[in-house]
Amino acid sequence: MEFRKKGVFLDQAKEPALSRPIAHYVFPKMVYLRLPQRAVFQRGDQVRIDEPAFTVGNQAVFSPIDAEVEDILTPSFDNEHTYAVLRNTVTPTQRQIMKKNDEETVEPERIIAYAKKCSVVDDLDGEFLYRKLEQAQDKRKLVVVGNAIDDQPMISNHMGPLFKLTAEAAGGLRLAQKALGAAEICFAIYGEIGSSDQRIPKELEKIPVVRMKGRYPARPRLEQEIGKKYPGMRVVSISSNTLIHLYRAVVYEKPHSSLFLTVAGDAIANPGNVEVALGTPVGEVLRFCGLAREPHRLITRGTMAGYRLTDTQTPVSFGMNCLIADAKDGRRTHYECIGCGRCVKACPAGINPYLAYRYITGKNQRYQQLGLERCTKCGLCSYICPSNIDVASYIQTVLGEDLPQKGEESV
Amino acid sequence: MKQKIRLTAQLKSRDTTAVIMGDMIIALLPLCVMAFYYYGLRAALLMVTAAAVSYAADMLGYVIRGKMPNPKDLSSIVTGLIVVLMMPASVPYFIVVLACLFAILVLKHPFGGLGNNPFNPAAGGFAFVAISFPQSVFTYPTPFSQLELVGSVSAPLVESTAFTLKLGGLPAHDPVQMLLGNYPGPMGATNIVVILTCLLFLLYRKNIDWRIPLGFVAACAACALLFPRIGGSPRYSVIYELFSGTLLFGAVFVVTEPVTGPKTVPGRWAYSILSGVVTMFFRYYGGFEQGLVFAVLIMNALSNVLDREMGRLVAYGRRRLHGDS
Repeated sequence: MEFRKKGVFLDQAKEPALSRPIAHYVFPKMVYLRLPQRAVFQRGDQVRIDEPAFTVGNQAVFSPIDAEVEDILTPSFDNEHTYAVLRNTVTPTQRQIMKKNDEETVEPERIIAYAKKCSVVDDLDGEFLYRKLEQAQDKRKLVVVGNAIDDQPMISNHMGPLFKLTAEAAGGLRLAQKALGAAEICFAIYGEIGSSDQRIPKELEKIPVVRMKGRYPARPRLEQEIGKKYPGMRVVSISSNTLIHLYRAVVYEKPHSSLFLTVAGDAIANPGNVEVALGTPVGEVLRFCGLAREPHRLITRGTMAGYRLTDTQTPVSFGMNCLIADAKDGRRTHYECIGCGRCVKACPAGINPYLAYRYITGKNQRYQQLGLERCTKCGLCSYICPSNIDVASYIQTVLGEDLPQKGEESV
Repeated sequence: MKQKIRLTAQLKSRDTTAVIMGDMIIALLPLCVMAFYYYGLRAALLMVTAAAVSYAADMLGYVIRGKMPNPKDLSSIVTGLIVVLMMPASVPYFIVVLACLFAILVLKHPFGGLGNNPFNPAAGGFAFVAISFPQSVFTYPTPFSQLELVGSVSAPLVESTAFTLKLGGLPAHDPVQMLLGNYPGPMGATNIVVILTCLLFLLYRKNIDWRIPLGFVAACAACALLFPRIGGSPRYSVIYELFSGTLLFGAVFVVTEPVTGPKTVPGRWAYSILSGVVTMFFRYYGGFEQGLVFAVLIMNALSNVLDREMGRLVAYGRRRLHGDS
C-alpha cells in the first residue's frame, strides 16, 4: 500500500517533555490489579514486589509493589471485571539492584525464556515479546527495529526514554538481535519534531538511527522506510520501551510492571516522561507531576486518536502512552457536514471518510463496500474537519472497535 | 455495561466552517467594492438586499424545518452575494429577492439544509430568474452611468459581450478594458483581474481545489480554440469567450462549490472538464448567451456518479498499467 504524500504536517509540540530527564514513579501508594474469574486473593493477603501474584494461562502476573490486598471490588471505571486494591505497605527504600545475568554471555534461548518469565509485553501492539521473538525465528535475513516513532503531537514516551536511558534500550536491542540471530539492528525515530532543542543523532550507542520524515501518520510507513535502508530483509519491529524492559528482564530479572508515559498539557506543572507502575491510578500520576490548574480534559492513548478519561481512578494500563491534562474542555461547536472533501484529501489509507460518514449517519448499508478495514486509526479525518465532526469515531463504531485492554490475558 | 468509548481526535485544526464561509465572503468583497465603484449606490443596495434576504430566508428555513437557527451560519450570505454578483446593476429589486428566496427556500432547505443540497443554490437561483425574466437579467448598463437607487432604471441598457459572440460578431471592447471590468456586464463578473486575485486568495487558503477552476477554464479555452465563433481568429476567440459573461466568475465561485461537487480527485477532474464542455455547448447552441449556470446544475446531478465511476476507472487503469497495486 502506498502512502504517497498523503497525511498532514502537524505542529508536534513535544517540548518541554522531550528534553526533561525521565522521572520514575514506581512506588505509588495504591495500585489496581485486574483479577481473573477465579478467586486468587482475600482481603489481608500480602503480595511482594516482583514476585508472581497469580498466573493466568501460562503467564505470571506480577505485583509492582510490596502491598497488602485492601479490598476486592468492581470499580467505577470498569463494571465488568473484579479488581484488587493493593495498598503499598513498604515505604520506598533503596532496593539493591543487583545484576543477575551478564548480557554479553547470555544465550539466545535464555533471552527468550527471561522475556517469557518476566511477562515482557510490546506496548505498541500488546503482544507478549517472547511470542514475537519465537515467531520471528525463521532463517531469512532479519533486521530488528527499535520502534521509537512518536508521530502524535505532544507525545514523546518512546523518544524520551530512548534518549535518556540509551544504554538500556541499546542493550535490549542487542539482546533481541542475539535472540533472533538477526543480521542488522537499528532504531526508528520520527524526525519531524519541529522547534525542539533535541537533536536526533545518526546513531545511538553505535546502533544506526533511521530518521523518518514526512507527514503524520508515520508509523504505517515504518516497514517501507526500513525496506529502503535494508532492502530484501524481513523487518521485526519492537517498541523501544519494550527493549528497555527486555534488558531489565534479562540482566536484573525484573518483571515488566511499569510503563513510560508522557504527562503533559497546560494543566500540568512539571510535564515530562514518567515511568509509572502498572495499575497506578491516573490521578496519582497527575499529582506526582503537579497540577498547576484544575484539569477539565484528560486524554490518554494518543492525542490524535485517543480517549477522554473521566475517572481519575482509572489505572494505568498497557496501550496508554500519555496523560494529557488540559485546563480547558476543548469541545467545539458541531456544524453540519459541508461536503468540502478535506477528509478525503487527508486520509492516508485512501478511504473516503465523507462517504462513510454520509452512509453511516444515513443508515445506508453501502458503507460496507467502502473498504473501511484499511483505516489506520490516525484520526486525521476528525482533525481536519472544519465542521468539528468526529468522523473517525463513526468509522470506528462501524468497525466494532472497543476500548482495548491489551497486555492482560482475557480472564 | 459495555463502555462505548470511541476513538476521538483530541486536537483540532484551526479551520472551521465559520472560517471557511468567512474566507468566501472576504474573497467576494473586492468584487462588491468594484461593483460599487462602477455602478454606484444602487449596486451596493442590491448586494445588501441580496445578503439580507438570503440570511433571513435561511433562518426562516431552519425554523420551518424545526431546527434551531444557527446565527453563525454565513453560508446563505455567500449564496446571496454570488447570485447578485452575476446580475446586472440595473436589475429590479424584486428579481434579486426572488432569486435569493428560490435559492435558499427551494434549493437548499427542502433537501436538508447546509451540506445536503444536491444542486448549487446560487446557480439555481440565478437560472430561475434568468429564464423567467431574461430581459431584465441579461441587459446591462454601461459603467459609470447614473442609476436610480430604486425603481426601474432609465439609463440605456446594452447587451453583453456574450450576446455579441452568440450573434457571431466580434465584441467592440478592448481586452485590456475587459480585464479591468470597464464594460457592460454582470456586476461582479466583469472585473477579471480582481476575480483572478480572489482565485489566488482562495487557493492559498485551501478553500477550493485548484483542479476545478483549472479543468473548467482549460476545457472552455480548448472548445473556444477548436471551435471559434469569431471567424478566423482563435486567439481572440479564446480571450473573448473566457472574458465574457460569468465564465471566470463561475469558475472561481460557482463550479468550485464543495457541497455539490464531487469529493474525489478523479471525480473533480471529470466534473470540471465536463462542466466546461457543457457550458460552451449551452453557449453555442442554447437559448441564452450564458451557459454556466445551466451546465453547473446538470453536472451537479452527476457529481456522485462521477465520484464513483471515476474512482473505479482509475483503479481499473492502475491495475492494467501497474499490475496489482
